[in-house]
Amino acid sequence: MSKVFQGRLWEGRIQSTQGTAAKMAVIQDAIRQADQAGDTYWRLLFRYEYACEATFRDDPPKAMPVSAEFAAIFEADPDALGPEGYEMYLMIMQMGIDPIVCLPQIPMEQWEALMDQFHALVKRYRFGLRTYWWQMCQFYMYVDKDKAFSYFQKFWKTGRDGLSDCRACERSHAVHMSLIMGDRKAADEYAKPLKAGRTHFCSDTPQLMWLAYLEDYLSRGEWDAAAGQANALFRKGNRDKSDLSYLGAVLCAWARSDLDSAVALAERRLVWTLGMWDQKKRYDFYKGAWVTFQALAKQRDEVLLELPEQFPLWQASGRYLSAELAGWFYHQCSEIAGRFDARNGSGLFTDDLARTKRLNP
Amino acid sequence: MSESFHFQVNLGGMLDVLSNHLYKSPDVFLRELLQNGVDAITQRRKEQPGWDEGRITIALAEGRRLTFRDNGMGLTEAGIHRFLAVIGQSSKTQLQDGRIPEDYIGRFGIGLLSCFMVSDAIVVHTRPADGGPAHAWTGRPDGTYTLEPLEDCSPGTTVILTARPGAEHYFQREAVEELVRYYGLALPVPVYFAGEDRRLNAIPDDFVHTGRGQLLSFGAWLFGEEFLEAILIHTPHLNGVAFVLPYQTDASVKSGHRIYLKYMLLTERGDRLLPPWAFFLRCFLNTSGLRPTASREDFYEDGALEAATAEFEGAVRAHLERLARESPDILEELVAVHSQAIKAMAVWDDSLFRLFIDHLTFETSEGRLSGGKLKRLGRGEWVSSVDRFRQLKPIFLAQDRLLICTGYAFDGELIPKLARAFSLAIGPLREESMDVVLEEPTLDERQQVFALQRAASRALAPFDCRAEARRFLPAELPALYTMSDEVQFFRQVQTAQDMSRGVFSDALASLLAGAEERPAASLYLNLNSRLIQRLAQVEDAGLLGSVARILYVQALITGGYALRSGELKTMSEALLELLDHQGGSI
Repeated sequence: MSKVFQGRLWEGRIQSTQGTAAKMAVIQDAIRQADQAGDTYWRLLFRYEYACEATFRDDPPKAMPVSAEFAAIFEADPDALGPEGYEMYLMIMQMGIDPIVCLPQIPMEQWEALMDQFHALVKRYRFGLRTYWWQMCQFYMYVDKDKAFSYFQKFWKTGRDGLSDCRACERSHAVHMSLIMGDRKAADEYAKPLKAGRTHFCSDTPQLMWLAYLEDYLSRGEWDAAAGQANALFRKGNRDKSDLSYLGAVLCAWARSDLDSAVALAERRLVWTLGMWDQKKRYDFYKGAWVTFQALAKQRDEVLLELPEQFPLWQASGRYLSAELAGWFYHQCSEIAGRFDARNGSGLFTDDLARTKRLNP
Repeated sequence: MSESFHFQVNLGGMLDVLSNHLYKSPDVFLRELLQNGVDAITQRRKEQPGWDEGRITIALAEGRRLTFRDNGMGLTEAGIHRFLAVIGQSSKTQLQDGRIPEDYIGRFGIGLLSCFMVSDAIVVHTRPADGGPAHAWTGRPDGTYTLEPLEDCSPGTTVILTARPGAEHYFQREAVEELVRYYGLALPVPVYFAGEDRRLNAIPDDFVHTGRGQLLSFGAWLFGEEFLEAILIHTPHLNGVAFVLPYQTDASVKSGHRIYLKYMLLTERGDRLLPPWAFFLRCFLNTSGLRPTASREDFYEDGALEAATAEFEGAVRAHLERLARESPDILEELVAVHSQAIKAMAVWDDSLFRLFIDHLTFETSEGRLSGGKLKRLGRGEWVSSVDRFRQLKPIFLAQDRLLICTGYAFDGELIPKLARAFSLAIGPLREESMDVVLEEPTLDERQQVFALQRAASRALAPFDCRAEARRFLPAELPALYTMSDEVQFFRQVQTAQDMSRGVFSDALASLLAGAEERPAASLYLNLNSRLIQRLAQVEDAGLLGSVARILYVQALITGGYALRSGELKTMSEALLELLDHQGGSI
């Protein structure tokens, strides 16, 4: 007689485990057990949980393998999750495809092929069209701004459904897109309900909106506004690896307004970038660290830091040359920017780096 | 010249916005009625100094009609046209230089509309408390209203609602009583059912002089929990009690509190006001000086909210410090149940770190050890990966060396902090330490196992794994498989590639191809093991390769790793090869 798989017990263990790394390890154990038991429902559900954990609290590309597995299992048994199972299917597909934006090693054609596959699912289930337009917009933001804006308009016009982001996140996207297009007035309009607190916030808002404004202030050299925004962003955007982009922008602002805190932040959170697959997050954090240590190099040649041992410049003495650190971070940024631009066929990352260099001589 | 026009507002559409997007549930209509009633009484108190008879009375025709009466300021005819008939106009928003006085609860002028979620008409009878005629106003969801003079009406305002089909539940006595307690428990105005003397919303007036036992009883009555401890919160923005839960909760749990703004329930969620570590507390708090959002379901983020959060943190910390001095047994119990929340606090707060570190426990190769015990032991090594800890634990245990797992939340920050603060010889497990744990063989030994090691490495190359001969304990373990997080992710991607086809599989291949260096896992062959010693005598490279593949799969199973399809296949093939060898060679 086959033994019934105790999915709920595993679920309890997952819920009671604290910390992203530990939780992901437990979910992996659960996936293994569910696979061995051949319980399709839990095989799918645990993979979905793993993808969520990777996407929202760790390193989004880690959601890719489980998304691919989910797709294969679900297609073989589409009824395993009940009548609403397709919603979970599209959500995990989104989590599996979105990270490609941040992985320059994956060619554009493969991303396009996956988006075609996603679009076919959207049509099959008549669900998720708004999200599809947003994904297209998000990718093209780093390729062709005008094309991204045209996708944004389609996204904004299409009706919401269960796959859509929360309203506050969507408004934050609109703020971001407007600022990218240089239209701060439109951004302020989109931001109004968020700033007035007239909408429900999820765990990622208002950080997304604050980041959009902070990046805009930084790109225009509005340092006072940037410092204020950075302080707010740091208070809510310093939780786990998924916040590295927030922290990179905070570092860029603090390098001018509060250098001591910037150095401490770079020291404390560098460990989150090591082994990180998401190259966009690495780029953002390294850019902040470069600006920070470049500013520090003007004040002192040497600095004592407790950096992680895996860091390539690690010193047992804890003694580092500020300029050497700045140089290393700049080199990393430059490499990543080059790889992104080569894949995307654009110069947006390289331009961003050049602008940052110009503003932080 | 351009002409200006007025928007036509579709009230039905507005109601949809209110009920589906602004308010979480129709039951907020009672909160809005309470809020208006209390504000009207507050206004009358201001305008008639010395008057202190404010009360709210609710009469019910069960399941059909609800009559809500306050004896507050009431409205004049002009006031009715201005405030009851214009959405967004509040009688409280134009006072004191455009700022709402601190003692008024409402501000947006849309609250009364929420009654349309449960009633098809809103009837308001009102007479100004400072004299003047009474009126009956009837509003309908299509945006029309009627106004008639009224004779029989005492000063104040009465709102009469008739249950819409499907909303009868909200007009039952039990539901109304529950909602009054829920939303208005802390209100400074008494609420009664008509004709009854029992006040529905009674709570202690002043917690400052209330004893611990009474506070805990109050917590039990309010939340239905036997709490471990009650922490008095009395600061410029906050007044109330934080109760310590008697069981462990998850950090993601943000709800279950009762947080009031100016005595009216604002939210059950604590994520805006309370610090993230407060998940081990259930709070009953009345706040003042903070701004609500339009939906009145949370706080607006500003400097005052930040100050209130800091005050809360300070009050909890001061209480815990006092417990450490005066009631260490209570503190012990509290730490035992809520170590995660306390660890979260200790990461950022040095005084709490020193206060609690001796009591907090950590996973080690010798079981869970407290910070105090680690201080006494004074040495050890930590690994930040839970998987790696599991792999190495039996080896460290066998060698009487201490390994600490810092892969759990906050431990990665607390253990280094512990080592620094008390100058302990506790540090990260470095590769050179692994050379001690997994002892390098002598040159002679290396010569002896050369054939085995080379055959095994060749056999395992397709699995991105290298074989290395080492000497370690326990001797019963013939082989140990170890891999970094990076290798683990590679394995995961390869497994996914096995399962998927088409474009996803191509993208996964590109993902791996882009990695700067392909990491390899290690299979350590234990020279202390009798099996490995015997294998070292075998010269048949083919046979050694087969055995190496079996050892590899066995080590994967022992380590709890998922087997890829290729690995299962290789195990079967290797076993067949052994059988073909007709036994006897080993």
